Amino acid sequence: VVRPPLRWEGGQLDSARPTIVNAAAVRWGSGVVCLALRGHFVGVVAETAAAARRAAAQLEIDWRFDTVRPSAPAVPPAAIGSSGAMASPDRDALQPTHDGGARRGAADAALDRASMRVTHSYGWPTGNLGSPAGKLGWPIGHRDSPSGGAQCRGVAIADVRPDAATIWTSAPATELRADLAMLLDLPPERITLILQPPGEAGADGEAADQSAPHPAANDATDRSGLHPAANDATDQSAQYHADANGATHQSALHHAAADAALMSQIAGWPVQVELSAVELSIEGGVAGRIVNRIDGGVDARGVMNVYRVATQYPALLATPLALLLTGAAPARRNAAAPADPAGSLLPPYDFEHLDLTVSSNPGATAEFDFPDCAAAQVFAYESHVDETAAAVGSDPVRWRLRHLRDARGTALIQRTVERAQWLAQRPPVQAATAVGGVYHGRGFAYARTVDCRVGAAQRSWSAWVADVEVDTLTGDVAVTRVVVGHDAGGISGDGGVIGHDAGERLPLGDDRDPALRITSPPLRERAHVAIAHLMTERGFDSSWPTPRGVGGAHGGRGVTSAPPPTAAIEVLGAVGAEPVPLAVGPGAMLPAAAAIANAIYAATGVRLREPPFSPERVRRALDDLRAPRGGRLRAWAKPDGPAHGAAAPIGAAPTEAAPRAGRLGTWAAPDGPAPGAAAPIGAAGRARRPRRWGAPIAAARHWIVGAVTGLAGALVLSSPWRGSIAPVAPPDPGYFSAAAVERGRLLSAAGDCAVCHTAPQGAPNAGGLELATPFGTIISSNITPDVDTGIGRWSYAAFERALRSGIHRDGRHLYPAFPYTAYAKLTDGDLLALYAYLMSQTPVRAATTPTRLAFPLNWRPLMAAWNLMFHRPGVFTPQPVRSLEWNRGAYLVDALGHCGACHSPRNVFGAERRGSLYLAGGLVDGWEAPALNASSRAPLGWSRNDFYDYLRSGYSANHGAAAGPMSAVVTELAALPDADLRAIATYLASLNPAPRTAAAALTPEASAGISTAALNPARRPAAAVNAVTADAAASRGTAAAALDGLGARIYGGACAVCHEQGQGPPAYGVKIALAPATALHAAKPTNLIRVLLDGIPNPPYAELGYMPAFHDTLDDRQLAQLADYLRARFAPGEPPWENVVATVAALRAASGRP
Amino acid sequence: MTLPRAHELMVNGRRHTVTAAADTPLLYVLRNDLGCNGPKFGCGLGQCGACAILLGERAVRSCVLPVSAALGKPVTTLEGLGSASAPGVVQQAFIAEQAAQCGYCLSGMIIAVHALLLRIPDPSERELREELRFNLCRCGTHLEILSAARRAARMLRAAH
Repeated sequence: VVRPPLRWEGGQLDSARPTIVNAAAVRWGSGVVCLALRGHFVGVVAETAAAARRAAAQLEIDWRFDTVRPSAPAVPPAAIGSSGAMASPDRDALQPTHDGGARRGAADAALDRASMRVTHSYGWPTGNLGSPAGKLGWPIGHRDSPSGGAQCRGVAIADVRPDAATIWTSAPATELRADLAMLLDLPPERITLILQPPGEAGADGEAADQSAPHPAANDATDRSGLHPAANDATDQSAQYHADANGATHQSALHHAAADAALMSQIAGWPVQVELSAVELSIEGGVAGRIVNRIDGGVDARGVMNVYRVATQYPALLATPLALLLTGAAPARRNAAAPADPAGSLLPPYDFEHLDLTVSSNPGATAEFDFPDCAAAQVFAYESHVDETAAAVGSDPVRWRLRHLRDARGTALIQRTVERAQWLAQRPPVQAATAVGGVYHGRGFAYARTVDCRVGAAQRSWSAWVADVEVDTLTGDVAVTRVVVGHDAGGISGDGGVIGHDAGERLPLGDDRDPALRITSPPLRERAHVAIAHLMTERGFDSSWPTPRGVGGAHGGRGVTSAPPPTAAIEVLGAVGAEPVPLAVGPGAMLPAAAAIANAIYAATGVRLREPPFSPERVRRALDDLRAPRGGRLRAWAKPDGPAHGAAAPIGAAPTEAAPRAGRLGTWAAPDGPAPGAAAPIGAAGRARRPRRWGAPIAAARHWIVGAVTGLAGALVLSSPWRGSIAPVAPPDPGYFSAAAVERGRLLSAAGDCAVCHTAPQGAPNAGGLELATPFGTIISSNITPDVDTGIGRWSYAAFERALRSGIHRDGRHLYPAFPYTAYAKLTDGDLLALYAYLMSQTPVRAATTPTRLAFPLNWRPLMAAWNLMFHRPGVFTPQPVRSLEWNRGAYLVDALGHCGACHSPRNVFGAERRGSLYLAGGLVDGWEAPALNASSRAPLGWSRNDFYDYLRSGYSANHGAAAGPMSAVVTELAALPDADLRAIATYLASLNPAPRTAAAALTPEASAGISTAALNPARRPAAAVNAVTADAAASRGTAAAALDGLGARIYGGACAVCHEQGQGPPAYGVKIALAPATALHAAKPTNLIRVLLDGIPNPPYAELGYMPAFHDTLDDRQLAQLADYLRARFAPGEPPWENVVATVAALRAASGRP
Repeated sequence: MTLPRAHELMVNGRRHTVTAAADTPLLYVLRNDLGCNGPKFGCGLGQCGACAILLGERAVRSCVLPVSAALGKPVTTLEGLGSASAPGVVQQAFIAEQAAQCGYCLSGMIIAVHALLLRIPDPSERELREELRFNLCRCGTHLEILSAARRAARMLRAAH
């Protein structure tokens, strides 16, 4: 299903009208049954889900909005103008209002009288995709994720006949039946809904196929039949998670059922639709922002006495989109009121006049969970209070205490700030620790919440003091220290006895030692995760990890840069009736966002009014702050969110910002027009520097000097002998949060750990694979957490040293076949997650043969010299002038994916070449890893979409299929989300020139007589591929002999059935065109001969088809003739290969099967 | 070479569990383990088409398809199209046209025609010939085979 762009127009959902540009190309694709088009709905029905996805990805659609409506007048957030209706309410009593809000006092009138007003809006993204399209993170709901991915997906099967319809679904029946009746234009009684327990239907596509419809629940509307307890009664966390996700999930099922029904009606086949959570977040309009607009007033006495807040929720679309897009029904929305009691949305401060109104996106209301609402509210009022304090020039803590009438909260705040050694400040305070572009700041936030979900209301108090360091150049924000005071007081009333201080102070380094961490309360880890979520774009997820550690299922969907493990989280003990760690509620994390935002403000004068506090946003805000002062050109686009738009001039900030603007301005204008900018620095400056011949010479001299000092210095000075890091007891199973483990699993997939660390037929990651290198055979080690043969006794410190420096836990140097040169660029957070994942695997006892290289390489200390010469340690640094996506791609390619390990040529010492030879193609394991940069031999060039197709499906119609070692890589990449693969594609495409277009290759006679109809999918006009074929066929050059010889006959017998375009029946799998294949245009026939000898026995996806091995059926001479023929016919522009027979013989011998 | 393990196959509407290495050609499993001798071993390289079977509704060459590729998909061999006493429509057409000499390619030809008619109930002469282009017959029975295919298409149209 392809969704059109959607937009809200005056309370109506408007969608774009599709025009299919390349329907013919897609129809050709293997396994595609038909395109399902009706109204604005576009779907692809295919034999397999993978084929459908591929075809959908290839569709080229021109979306147009039919009408440009005059944009509706903005609905005022506080549209309910009933404030005067309630007469003189009691000062202390909170009056609920009819619209779900609450009121006390006369806020409007008081605001008019206020001597100072502070009005701002605070945003809070909900759902995973609520934040702007950042690409730095991992997604939710992967199908293999152990704990909850399935919950987020909607699966439905529909079989619609002309007169009746049967739908298998697990969505509740009542509304669905009516919706489907309208959609299919059938009477409701002709629609049979067969309801399945969600667990079954959501488990897997095939499982859903085979599972018998649930007989008891057949056609039931009884919800109890639909939700059989929890899947696992002991797993309360899963239950909780299901609740939290309930609305989204229901909506998913609803949409899936409607899509399936519609497509089945069009196709005349039973259709199964599976919508992932990610698709739904976009499609269902679930994601959005909660916006709090707060109007605060300070009276003449300097007391904040008015607080008016208007909360706006995004809409949750209840009508199946299929219905809207086909024009069968107008949009209907859920009419449910916010699930939250108004009480918990209110600030804990004692404001005389208070007004809370709740509305949602034009006309719609939605159900939201406690965490979302509460987190948004706390962030809003804590930021606002801070801003007010800044505006009146008061210390933010003292300002809060002044408005607090809660003994217990006051005590908690006092204890927390005492522990944090809070010094009274008048923000924005310029901390004395500023060094270079790094500014230090400290922020405070406080929350009191009432959680009504579980029986008796549970109250909790929580206070955070966060220390941050902001790098004003890059926008990076590091949370260096957090003091959390938390009091989950259970159900006792105010003024309960303040207990003893059960605070726990953990020194900085402890994080790295699992043994010590075990003793620390789970709250610390949750704080880590919470902070990490706040700091990254895509990873931002407002669903806080929950009391029972559900992070893995939902909250843990994606963090790119967890706070450095050096961020000390100090937990001040809870006070109350219940034992300390157990009583920790989600409330403990609530002040995090505001505390960090306030700290960033204290550090830089920049006020961020919407998380996440990603480097890009911080940078933009800094730039906004500087721009009006310095009057210089703005290098960064104006942020689109209102939260940023409002961030510019605040109170006293300009005085602080002005001097800084001078210092920092230079980087912000990479193209140099900024007046007064000093010499350009950074990447932009380097790129513009003209090439000089001196540079290589200087570089060479550098190498020589490096080599000499390396050999001498490494041995003498830098001590190649490294100490052993003491073994530790392996961490308990389940010690790491599910979030960390899941993230580590994705990282491990992206890093291809298992590709090298798994022997053929061996247990994953148990080692034993023999890697043939020019220096000898290296045998990969066991990286399962087995205590004797694996890494079970490796502490994190040892693990980190191995990945960053290539040193074994026992101090041995590792050979750089292990790509620590790439892994050194990993962020701390990723490394930690990787450790969590690897240590959480099932230990496999498998001793591997130690690697024995010939002298002198068997003397491992030699590697110290190698490292000195070739290893460039240091975490990946993003290039600020490039997009987030590009940087994400570069990170994945260079650090995690270590693509260069195969695709960059290596020098005589086995070190990857850099500069112009970066990713210029290498040799690995008897295969040539083709160039990924501009020196690629691919006749059509690589576009971003080509890279994406290839990495996602293992096949690009403009290039060919993944074979050899790349097949395993594509298999591993299956775990990665689309966004990451697109990021990789974006980055790699940026290294390549724009692909050759059809016009450049096409001549009239060339296009005639070529019957390769619709080989080429989507993106490039089909003629481009044809043109190559035509060039090839038309050319009669020196290779004429090859075209008529034995090779041609072998091709006709052995190859044509699957590869000859436009002939024969459709192949099982893809009918790969040979003309665009890189292997045929390569300088050497290595890859062609390898694939002829070995075939493609393990394609990454079975749908691609298998290629048989011709190892045993064609001899060297026949293979060579075939290679010559293929070269002459399909790469006529290239000279014939030389020594093909010898190459065949050599490769055959190397394969060990003579 | 990979270690044998159990594979669950759906062949001609029945479920079978076979133990084989994942890269064993499906043809071997069909003939040796399941006794489906309709598909023949011809070239072993996917070139002649004698081993064709239906995977789903598509004709594939089972000699180059690993058994693991057939998991979860219905497999239909010649036996699944009909029996000697109750031949299927395409089989009836081949009998009526006496479209066989040695008959070795026949299973593959019938499967290919069947797959074509599933996809295109009313194929043109060109579509017919393209479909059978890479199914080899060494006896020169091509014209009879084409007649049989045309007859099968007519019979199917008449049945509808």
